Amino acid sequence: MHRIRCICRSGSNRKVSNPSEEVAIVGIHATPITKKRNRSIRESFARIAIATLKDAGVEPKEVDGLVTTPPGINPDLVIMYGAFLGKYLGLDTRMLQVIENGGATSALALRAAANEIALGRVKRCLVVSADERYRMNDDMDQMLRFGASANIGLQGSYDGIYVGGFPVPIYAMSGQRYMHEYDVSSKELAELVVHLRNHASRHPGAQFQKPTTVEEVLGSPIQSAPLTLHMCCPVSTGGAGVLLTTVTEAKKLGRPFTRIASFGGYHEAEHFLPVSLDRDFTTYRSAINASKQAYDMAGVGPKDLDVAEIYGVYAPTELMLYEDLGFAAEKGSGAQAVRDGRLTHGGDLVVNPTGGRIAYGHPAAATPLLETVEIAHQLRGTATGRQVDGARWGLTHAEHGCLNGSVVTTYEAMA
Amino acid sequence: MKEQIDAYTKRAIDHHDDGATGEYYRLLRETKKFHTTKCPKCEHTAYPPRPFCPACFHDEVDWVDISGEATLYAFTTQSRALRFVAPDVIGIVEVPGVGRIATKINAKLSDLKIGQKVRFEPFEVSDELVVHSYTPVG
Ligand SMILES: [Zn+2]
Repeated sequence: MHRIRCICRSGSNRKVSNPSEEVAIVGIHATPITKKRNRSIRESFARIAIATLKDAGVEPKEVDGLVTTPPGINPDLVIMYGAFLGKYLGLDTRMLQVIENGGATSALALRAAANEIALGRVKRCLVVSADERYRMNDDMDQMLRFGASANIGLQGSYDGIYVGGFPVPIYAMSGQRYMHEYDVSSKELAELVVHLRNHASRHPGAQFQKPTTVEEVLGSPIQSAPLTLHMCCPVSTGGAGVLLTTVTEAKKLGRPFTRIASFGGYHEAEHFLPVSLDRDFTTYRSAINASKQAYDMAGVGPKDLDVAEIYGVYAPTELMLYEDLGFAAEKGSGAQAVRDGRLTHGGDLVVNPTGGRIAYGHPAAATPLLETVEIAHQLRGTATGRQVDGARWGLTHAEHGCLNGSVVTTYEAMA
Repeated sequence: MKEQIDAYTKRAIDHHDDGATGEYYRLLRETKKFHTTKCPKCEHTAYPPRPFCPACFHDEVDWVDISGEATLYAFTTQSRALRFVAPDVIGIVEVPGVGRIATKINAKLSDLKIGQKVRFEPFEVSDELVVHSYTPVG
């Protein structure tokens, strides 16, 4: 964490708390990722909170901060969810927030919680996120109303006429440009999916644990050309929890933990569609700028990383991110880096050891926190079956829109 | 079903009208031309149109006609076609001096090529709603 020294030169003897605490992750939990929910979203939030505190060895009464995310896409009116959850869990807190911003939702929740710990306002902050996709297919009228108006609510009164509420066509066109500009083939996209499914086969909580083949990926139905079904992230339900405290407190626990080393962010004035003529649809400047800030503030670079979890929701997106986050040598070389084995066990670093969004699964709002849990497992040496040997530095990346905004976080293993 | 979708679409557009939306759709319906807003102070042309300038925050705008030719930047189909008949071909077109705009493309997917010229064409969704679309030139 970037340290801000509080230097009081006023000459008075007022005691000023030093806002420069370093932030530690001491409790983690991830649910298995499934297509459909197996319990209500409220119960999911509670079960995650309980498991996270148990992992940390912390009592509920010791928690003094709660940051949550909204309870998925829901047919009911949901406001004041933080207050509801605080009551449901029986937690009195000094800080209570609900954070939402599309795919970056729980990355920003983690950041809000980390800020409060760093500023010394709370001592033990619980971050909890779960997501589910409400299905309304059995209510035709509601589906039509939602389908017609949600697009306009989500994409605006102009683009919303053309583009469905689901962003697949937008990512498909970004992928089409990438393949066109850098001569990337469908086979290379399929090889990436095979690689990610292999990673997911090592994770007992992944949605797709069965390996696949290039033929199977290319033969799956076209969603939006050039994307086939298996090149897209699935619809998922799941969630994660993290407990934060200070590094000073964490050291008293006498076991390995994870330090949050830096946050970087960048949110361009675009949402989903590439409107400005100067904006590139194949180089994600939010990922470049956010990762640069995160690397600079932690004092590390991509070559120092051992493991990363990144937000590649479609196959071409994942390849572009390898390039923009600094894991592949240059633009257009993402597929080559995969083929050379540089981004898996035994390579330069392991990217998406869970299988990533395409194979591990993608409960969108909770995805960034699931990434954080995986990195914390890797850095404390508890990623059974997929452990990156001697992992010391990790990174997570989350985005919203069509990579219009990115949040990048770096982490260091602490003994 | 089409009538319901059209009614819900109209209702959503009216509900989200920021002062520019109503005028934008009125101009499309009545003049069959594609207009957007331009700042009289800094000359920035904005799409989507706004009742203010997003480049300098000037709070008044002019309407300009941007109908005409554009270049096809990207295109695809949507499996979840809702408003247009499947296969629903959509694309992003580069409108000179304005930006890259999502639109309906009046062609078969297999006939399209990145970089080809396309021309604005009004598309009547219903009596009340006319939207922009683009058709390959020649
Ligand atoms: Zn202006």
